[in-house]
Amino acid sequence: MIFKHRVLGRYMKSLHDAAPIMIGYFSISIAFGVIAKDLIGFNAVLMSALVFAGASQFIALHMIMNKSSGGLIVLTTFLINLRHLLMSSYMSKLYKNVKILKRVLISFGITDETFATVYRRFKNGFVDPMYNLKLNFLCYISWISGTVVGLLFGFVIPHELVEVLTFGLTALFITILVLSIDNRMDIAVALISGFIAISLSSLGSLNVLLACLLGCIAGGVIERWRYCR
Amino acid sequence: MEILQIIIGMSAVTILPRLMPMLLPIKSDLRFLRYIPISVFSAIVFPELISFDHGIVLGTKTLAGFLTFLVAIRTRNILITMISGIIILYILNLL
Repeated sequence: MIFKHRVLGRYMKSLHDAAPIMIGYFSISIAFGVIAKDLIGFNAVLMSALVFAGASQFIALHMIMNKSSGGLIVLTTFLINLRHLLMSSYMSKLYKNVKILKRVLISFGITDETFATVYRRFKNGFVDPMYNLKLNFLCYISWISGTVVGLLFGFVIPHELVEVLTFGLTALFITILVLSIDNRMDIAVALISGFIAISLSSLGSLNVLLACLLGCIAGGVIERWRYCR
Repeated sequence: MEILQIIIGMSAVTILPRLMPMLLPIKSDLRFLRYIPISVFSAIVFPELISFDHGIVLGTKTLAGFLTFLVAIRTRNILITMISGIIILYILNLL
């Protein structure tokens, strides 16, 4: 491995690690572009460039479809992306001697996938801000270009399929849910907030926010209670 | 609200949690944040599949959702699950 990476060189390492994420981002952002086309048109590119957070972008589309208010969309986005606090604070400890501009640029590219990849390198004692910056940038570029491709070629999909297509969004959320579940506590939190969201569905999209807050509180409380016992 | 305002708002609230710890370190325990994605997605998904109107109402989407869950658990792949989910619902609607 050491030899291989010496050959690849320090500059190839980021491309090597970014490639699988780039393929994933490119294809998922095509789906984003296709769904976004009729809802917000080319503003989707702007959203991909300025937000660069897949889950919340898809949720925003979902909420725009349901005619939710803009304030609620922004609030929900805030809540979903709060988890980046966790990743960013982990990184800031390792990068404390890095120039501020570099740290700021790196922070913009933090996503679940880029963090997971860089984290694996950290574990092996490899800490290099330039590697991280390049990795993030490559993933960022593929996210935006996929969005453009989806917008440009979305028309090949017939209109009758659009209702069924929105279920693709639900399927996407189901997969992310399944992928983020690691243990029984996670399942408990998922069931609690799912149940609350169904019960409060008369409140419109506000139910997601309330269910999320209550689900997280429940998770934290149960965790502490189990730990104390 | 205009779509442009929504995008700028979303951008601001996404950059904030990414940037803040880089500027000033946070000391407190943030582990509970880990539950956010799980609870958000489950809060979006379940009401899509099951409605709650004078008792629990199930439909083709409930069945399609259940099958999609199985595909997701099996493949752990976003694209495969998206495509299968669409096909499953399409077939169930034809029946």
